[in-house]
Amino acid sequence: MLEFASPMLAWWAALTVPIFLIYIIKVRLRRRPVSTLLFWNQLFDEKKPRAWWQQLRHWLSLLLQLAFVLLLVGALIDPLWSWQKNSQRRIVLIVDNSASMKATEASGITRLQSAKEIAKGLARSLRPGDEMSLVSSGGQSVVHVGLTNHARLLIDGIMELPETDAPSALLPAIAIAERLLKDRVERSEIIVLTDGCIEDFETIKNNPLVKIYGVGKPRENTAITRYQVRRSVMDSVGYQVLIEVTNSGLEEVKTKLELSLEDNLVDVVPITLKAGESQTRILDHTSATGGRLVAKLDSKDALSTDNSAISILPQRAPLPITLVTKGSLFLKSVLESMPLVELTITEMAPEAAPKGGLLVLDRIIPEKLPRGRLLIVDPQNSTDMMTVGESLEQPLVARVEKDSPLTQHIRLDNVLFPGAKQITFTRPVESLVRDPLDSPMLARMKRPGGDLWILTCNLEQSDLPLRIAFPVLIKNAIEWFQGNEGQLRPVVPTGTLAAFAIPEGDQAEVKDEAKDADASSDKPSPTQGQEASSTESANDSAVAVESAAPTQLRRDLHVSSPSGKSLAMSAEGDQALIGPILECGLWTVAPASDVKTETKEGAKEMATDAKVDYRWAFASNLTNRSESDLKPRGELLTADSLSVVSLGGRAIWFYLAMLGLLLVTTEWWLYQRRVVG
Amino acid sequence: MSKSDLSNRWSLEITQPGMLWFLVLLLPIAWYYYRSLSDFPKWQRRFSLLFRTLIMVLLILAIAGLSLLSPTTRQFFAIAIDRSLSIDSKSQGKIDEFVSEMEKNRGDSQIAYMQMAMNPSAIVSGYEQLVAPEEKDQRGTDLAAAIQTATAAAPPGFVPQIVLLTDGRQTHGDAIQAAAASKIPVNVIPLSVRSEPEVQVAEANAPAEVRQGEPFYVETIISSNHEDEGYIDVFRGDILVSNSEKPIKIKEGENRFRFRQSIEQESQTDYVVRVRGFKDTLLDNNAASAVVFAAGKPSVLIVDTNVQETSQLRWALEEQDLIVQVRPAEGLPRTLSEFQKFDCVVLSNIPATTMSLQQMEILRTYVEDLGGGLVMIGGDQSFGLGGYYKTTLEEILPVRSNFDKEKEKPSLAMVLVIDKSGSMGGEKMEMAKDAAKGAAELLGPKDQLGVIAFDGQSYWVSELHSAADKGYIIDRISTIEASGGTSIYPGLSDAYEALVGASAKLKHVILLTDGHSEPGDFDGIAGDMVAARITLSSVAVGTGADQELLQKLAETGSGRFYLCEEANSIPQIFAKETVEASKSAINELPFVPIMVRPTQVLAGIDLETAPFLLGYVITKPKPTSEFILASEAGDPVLVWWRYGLGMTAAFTSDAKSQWAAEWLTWPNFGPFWAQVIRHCMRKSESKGVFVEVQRNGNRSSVIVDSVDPAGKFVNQATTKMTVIAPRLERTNLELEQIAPGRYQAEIPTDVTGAYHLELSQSVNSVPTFRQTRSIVVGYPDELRLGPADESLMKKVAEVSGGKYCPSVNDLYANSDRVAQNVIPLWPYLLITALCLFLLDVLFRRLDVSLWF
Repeated sequence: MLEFASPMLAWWAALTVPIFLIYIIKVRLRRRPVSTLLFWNQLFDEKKPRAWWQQLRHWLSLLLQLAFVLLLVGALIDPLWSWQKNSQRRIVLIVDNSASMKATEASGITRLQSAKEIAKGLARSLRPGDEMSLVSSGGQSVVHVGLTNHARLLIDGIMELPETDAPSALLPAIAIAERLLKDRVERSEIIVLTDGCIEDFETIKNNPLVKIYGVGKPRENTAITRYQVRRSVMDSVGYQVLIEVTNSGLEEVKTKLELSLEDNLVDVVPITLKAGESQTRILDHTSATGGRLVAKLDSKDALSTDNSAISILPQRAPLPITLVTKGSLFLKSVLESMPLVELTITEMAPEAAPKGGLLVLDRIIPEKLPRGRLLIVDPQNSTDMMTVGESLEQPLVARVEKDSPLTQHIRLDNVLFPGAKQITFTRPVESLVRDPLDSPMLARMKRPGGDLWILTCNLEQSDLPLRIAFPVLIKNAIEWFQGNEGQLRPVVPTGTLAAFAIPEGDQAEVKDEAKDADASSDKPSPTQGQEASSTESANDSAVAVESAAPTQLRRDLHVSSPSGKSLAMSAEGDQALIGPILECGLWTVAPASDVKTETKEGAKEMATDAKVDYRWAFASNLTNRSESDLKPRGELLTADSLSVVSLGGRAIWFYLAMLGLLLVTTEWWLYQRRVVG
Repeated sequence: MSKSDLSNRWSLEITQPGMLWFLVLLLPIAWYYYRSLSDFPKWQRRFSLLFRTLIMVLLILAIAGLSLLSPTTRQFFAIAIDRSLSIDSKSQGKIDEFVSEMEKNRGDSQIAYMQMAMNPSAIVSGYEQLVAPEEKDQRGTDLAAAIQTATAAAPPGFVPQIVLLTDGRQTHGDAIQAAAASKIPVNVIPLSVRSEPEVQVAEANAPAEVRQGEPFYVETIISSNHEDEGYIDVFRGDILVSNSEKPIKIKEGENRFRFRQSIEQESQTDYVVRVRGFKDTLLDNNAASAVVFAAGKPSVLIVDTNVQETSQLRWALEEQDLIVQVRPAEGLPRTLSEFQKFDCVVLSNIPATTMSLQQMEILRTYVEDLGGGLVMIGGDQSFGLGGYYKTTLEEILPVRSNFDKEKEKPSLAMVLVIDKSGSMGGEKMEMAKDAAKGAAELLGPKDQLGVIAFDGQSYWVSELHSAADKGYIIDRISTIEASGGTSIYPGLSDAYEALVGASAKLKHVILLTDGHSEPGDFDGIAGDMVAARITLSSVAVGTGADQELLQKLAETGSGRFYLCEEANSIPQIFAKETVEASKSAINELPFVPIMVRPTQVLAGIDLETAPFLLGYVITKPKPTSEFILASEAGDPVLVWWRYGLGMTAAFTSDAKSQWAAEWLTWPNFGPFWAQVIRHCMRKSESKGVFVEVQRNGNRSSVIVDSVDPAGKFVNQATTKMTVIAPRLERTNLELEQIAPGRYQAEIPTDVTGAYHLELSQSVNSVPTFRQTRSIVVGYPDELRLGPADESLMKKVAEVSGGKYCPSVNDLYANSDRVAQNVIPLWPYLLITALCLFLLDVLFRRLDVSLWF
């Protein structure tokens, strides 16, 4: 069946009438006086006047001209075979712009550049009625151009496709494509241009809508595929680094791994990797300051993005300790020798422990214990939290709690604690060291205002300070108070969302409000509170109102990418979700109010500023074995075969106009050479 | 692009520049112009050349796809309407009004519509073409997917805009990110959230791990959109633990409550908080759960048909620092969460008929995948006598319930009288046939088995035949087809006659029916059977059976009556009956167990001084099991083996006064059982390990932080996890080390219910820790009550350059944005070529010089 898009234009066929008329019209000869008719008569005898039909001796010329007119009119009415109409295709072109597509081929161009060239050819080959959409899949799926048959729009979109450092997110991109095509699946297809370095290859390949075309050849690559630094649990200045290096190539690689903290070289590790081998290294180092810890592979391979990785080593804050003593040399010496301790010595007990620090009370114990975290040595008098009784009869260590972090690495068996007293506590305590009669000699107590650590032993009379156990005991206590939980700032793998925890000090406003809300809710409301108090005393399992929900403040943040791109966002509460992260490197976050300049230059300045507050930054690395393996995971269709889709199938008008062009050229030749009239 | 640039945006485009090669055709045109034989004047020939050249250029431009790019402000609106459950039904009026206003003012603009909830629908051109989504698809909102789909659907030649009609309560995806990436302004028209009275349990929180006996709080947040009064119930497992006698007042918004609890006797406890008595619309969001692990003494569940008889074992184990809970057979847990409360389950003389196949499957998952321990203790209702032959539990246990029947055991002649009436069709008949085949397999070579099927009449399916020829009997049983009525008497009568003449010492009949029989002399036939020392047991399938008659027949016939509500337990009953009737599975001669295989597990227990045991159930050890204790006859007494991650043990004698009367006073009774149970129970070692589970949408990540006793991070350890999903699907995966001492894995948690995780770590193949955890996934976030997320909606509009809450006029108002309209010029080029051609022909035919 033939259909016409513009049947009205068939009226232009009427042009054949004037052409025909022009051919049959007899041109009236001009009357002109001449001196003799002798030669004219001879001419007229030779050339007899012709009837109108005799004018058609140039019929071929007329036929050609009419054919030309009809060809063009035929083109104008835009005929379309129904099979052609039904073969209009809808294509979603997914270009993989993941990190592996940044790999350089032997020719010197990247895989993404190759893919873009192929994509452009594909866009140019669109047939009338075909529609194509452009989606990218690096880290996240983004629709760049909606379904269109406008090739230039598509080509512009293809040219603007950015490189990313993120792994491929092909499955979500295919999901978008399927949604786009779901109302008409037949004659729809999803064309994926990728290097095949993708997970879920088989799942994608088994999708009947999807055709995967490959770009690039397998390349050698060595990569850092895992990287994270973490503060040690045991040592307040120590840290441990986990690094995994993978050789995804087919040849053995010898390389060096350089580790530098704030641009100062920390370690160099030579590594030899067999083909396909991964090696994990755990490196121990120390630093109190922390900062940017960069691992770099001395390797020149096809993909440079994965040759370096960055991680933030949390800074250890100094611990302010106030020692209240009348001159305990032992305690003073031990505390001074501790790294990161800021020691203040006084003889008067303050009302509270220093903010964020620790108060050590040596024998001088106020009746009402100060607020905060307290380390009490040899208490001589009773307080609100404990009653100090008589001296212990046998101040000999009989039992040491082995599982407590406070007593690890110490041996106190049969050590005498002279001057130790019988202490009764008003709250439950964990007895860490006990005498033969089970009386606590070292205990810890949890209390709302700050925990307590109590040692009953006269240091002057005991040999405990002379033992190695003493500094270990104090160090354990301080680290327990510090809460060294193996701090780490998680490195964000590219392609994922970064859950950025807003630094604690900057949440104060939010927290205080929550506290206020808690405090206010402690006062029972006329309805809930009363009911709660009456039932709670009656039965433990009864309903009790706790507090109102803490208010979550929303704050505006300014995020700068490693390349200086800026992004405004807002976060609710103490966490901001940023991303998906598409760039490797150090990202910085700042409250929007602190950002003075919002220009790109300003952002760049911020990013490159040497004095980065690492509490307001996070690191992002590729660290993805699949993405660093520059070999396709399965058989890919060759990109050359893509040209097949563009062959034939043009509209009929195109061929008719083409024929018209050839006809009009031929007719010129025939006419000028007088083959036709 | 601003309007000032508008004039600069007119441009031409050639889509097929390759076609311009046809311009070379102008060369022959020019050539033949010079070589022309035409006699027209030169100037006329020049005009002719000009026309022809123009015609050709126009045609070449047409086929080269010359197009005009013109700026346009025609607008395209993709209107996405939120159809998720959180939207107030009253919003429909607002939607209709908005759509009608948009249509009224559309002018030359184009509008397309789509719906969104969990997934966006296809885009349609008419509002009326939208089809309401199903309820299950409304349980989520993915604004990001809707924005992406609308972006991709925007046609060229229009200035596109997306309009979201939503309450902004997204449950999946990141709408802000999608809006920022879309390059199309996303306008948001806020819709209101449900205004019907609604109260929900927003959260139930409890500490992940506590110590046994340590008090803790279960905290819950009740959200409401109105002030109300009602009750908050807290269930611990199936038991209600809160006692709010008076209704509790709640205010609009979030209300926090907490309940003081402590766990004394279980390793794991699940709490469910429910609300009732409030004015409420959605019921699905009225409950939330939390799971608490209690570290401390191991917890053991003993299930026994007679709870009193287990007292000695219970005391003995409690003395050995085990927490023991004793339940009757009906108290056997029905869910995996319930089993997870215990480290070991002891089945003491529990017949298979008291548990469902589902319970057995759950028990298998508990042992195999979650590392739980299972001990089966013997008795006259256990192993073969309990009907465990060919059951899931027999598969788990280290012994088989069948055995090689010894020659000296009395021979048995048994007739199965099976109802084959029409009502038995389908599963019942198949199960009955399977049961009959199972019975045939259990019998020894000296036994005889006959099968009678009856409907209105009685037929011998297989005459009384030696059980040595099992194949023949099984083949015959397969031929039974259900049809006809129900008449029991003829079947019983035939069975009686066949057995009276049989030479076997023991004679037994099992009658199975699911209906009411036609009348017959049942008392008489039962009496005759008793007189001929034939026992009769009866099985009623379903409650429609004549239970009274069957019970009476069983009583008179000195047999047992079974009510079998589910057809799939028929095989267990037949197996139990067969073993019991053969009187061969029990050996009741006193004996002292002999240690066959020395083991550290029983270190310190002097079995040589152990008193006599008075009997045991005969079983057969499985080939790979560890055969520890044997009877004097060499039969298994204590056997164990590892099954998956767990350990199961079979003790074929008992732990009560029937067979172990002497053992109860033996000083090693407690230590013996404690050591056996400790060997089998789940090993929970969690020192230095911190497990954190974070839920993020439909996925959860499990983070294991591992530090050795010296405070060093445990690195390069093999950390594995088994995940049991709510529908008992099992997934095994390995956690990846992501930092020193830290391991992580991500799992999908998109189904409502409890996910059980079994985590284990080993360094150099030496196990270092093992723990179980649970994740409870409650109702979908869509049902979570809350206000419309205005801030998200505003942000979506802001990052995309759209407007928040615009009027229809605002949407149609001309913006600075323009689009490029592509006008293909080929038709105009062809028309011009046609006109020029006419002139060309005219110039050729007329000698214009005649007039000039």
